[in-house]
Amino acid sequence: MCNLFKKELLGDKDWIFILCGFVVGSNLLFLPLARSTAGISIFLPLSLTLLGFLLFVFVKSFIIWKEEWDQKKIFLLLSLPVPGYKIVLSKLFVLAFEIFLYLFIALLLPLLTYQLSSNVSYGIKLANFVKLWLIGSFWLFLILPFSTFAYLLGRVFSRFRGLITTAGLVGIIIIFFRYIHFGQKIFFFIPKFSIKWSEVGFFTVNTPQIAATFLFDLVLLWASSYFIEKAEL
Amino acid sequence: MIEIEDLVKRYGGIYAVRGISLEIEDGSFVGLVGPNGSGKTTLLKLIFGYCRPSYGKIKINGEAPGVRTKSFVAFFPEIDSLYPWIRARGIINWYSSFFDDWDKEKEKNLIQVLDIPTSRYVAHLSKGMRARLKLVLTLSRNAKIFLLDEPLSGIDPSSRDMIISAILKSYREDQTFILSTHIVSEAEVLFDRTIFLKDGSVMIDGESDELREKYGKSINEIFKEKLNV
Repeated sequence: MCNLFKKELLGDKDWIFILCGFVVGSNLLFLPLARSTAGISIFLPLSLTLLGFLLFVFVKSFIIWKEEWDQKKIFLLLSLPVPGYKIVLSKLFVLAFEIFLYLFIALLLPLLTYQLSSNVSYGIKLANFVKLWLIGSFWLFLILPFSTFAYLLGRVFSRFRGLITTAGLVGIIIIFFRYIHFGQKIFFFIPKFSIKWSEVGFFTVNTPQIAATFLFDLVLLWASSYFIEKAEL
Repeated sequence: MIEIEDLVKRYGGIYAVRGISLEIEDGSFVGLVGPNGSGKTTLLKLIFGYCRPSYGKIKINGEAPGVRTKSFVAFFPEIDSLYPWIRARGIINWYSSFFDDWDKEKEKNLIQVLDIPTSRYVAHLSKGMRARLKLVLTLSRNAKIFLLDEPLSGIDPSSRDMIISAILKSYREDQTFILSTHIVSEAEVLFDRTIFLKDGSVMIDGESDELREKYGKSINEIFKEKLNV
């Protein structure tokens, strides 16, 4: 498992550098404006990197599988006597690692600037953005198994793979939205909790919803592991 | 032992393998010969578990192809499946870590015999070198069954000689080798048994010596005559 993760990380290093470069670059580009146009200085890099980051990681969760197939490297990976779930998890762990890496870098520079220039009024509350980033990353992490499931479902069939993948993704999103209300009821016994943060006030964490999503993810992971063992090369 | 019964593989309306039944005993070196598109690769992929039969059964030592059988079956793919961003040594170390039957001594000998520059990145290796590196990854194992898909295809003559001699040196009598090729002249020395495939079906199947005696020709000549190559 550790060796699979290491291989995924090494194989992805170019993408990691590119995205980290984008995150750092957009911060460095806009942060010098802090003194003159303080209102937008934090807002712009955080908005840009957040949008880019969410979109990119979701697209990348497909690319990470597609590259393996298109470049025929999947032959080497599937020649290993390794259960499907380990292969699926190693790729998801790399994506999760990247999410946390980008999150760290994206928040570090604005936070530092905020700390260093505490007298400047930014026009927005930085804590609101931090909250947005954390929530965005958390949900992104929770929906990553969706794309893995859809892509591997398409790979089980020898024809109409693109169509099956697209239909699989749409189908699983529809099922998820229908299931989530019911799922929350299953986990009604888990108490919701509120976090008090002086900068943004109270916000409530819907733990039954998170638990229901997590259960849904586990089912998708189980199915994805089955699909990769049945994939057609 | 490999048992194949009424095996069919269909891609849409096209049959890649149609109704093949075979039994391959342990310890034999089998040549799978046939022109391009005769179903050699598909048959090997089905045996290894890279794809599933549309109909029929395959059993390897009594088990259906899957994750478990991969621990004692080694596969050499014809296509370039190596990661380009890793050094040759790195990929050998990484790949070997997954197999209990990896033989360090065999690995060392194969690297030497096949003249692999282990410090180079895979991306910087020639096609012949990459094929030889894939062979190191396949033959360094003490697997029970080796499936070699076109190991001589698209390779320069000097590399072909190296590959044939490496396969010969690796072969042990308790291991089963199935080698597919359409370059029969150079590989026929290896075959105990030869299976001729055409349009996804078995055309001729027999002990290589018996076939030579029966037809009064070499396997290569039978191949050219019977399969109109």
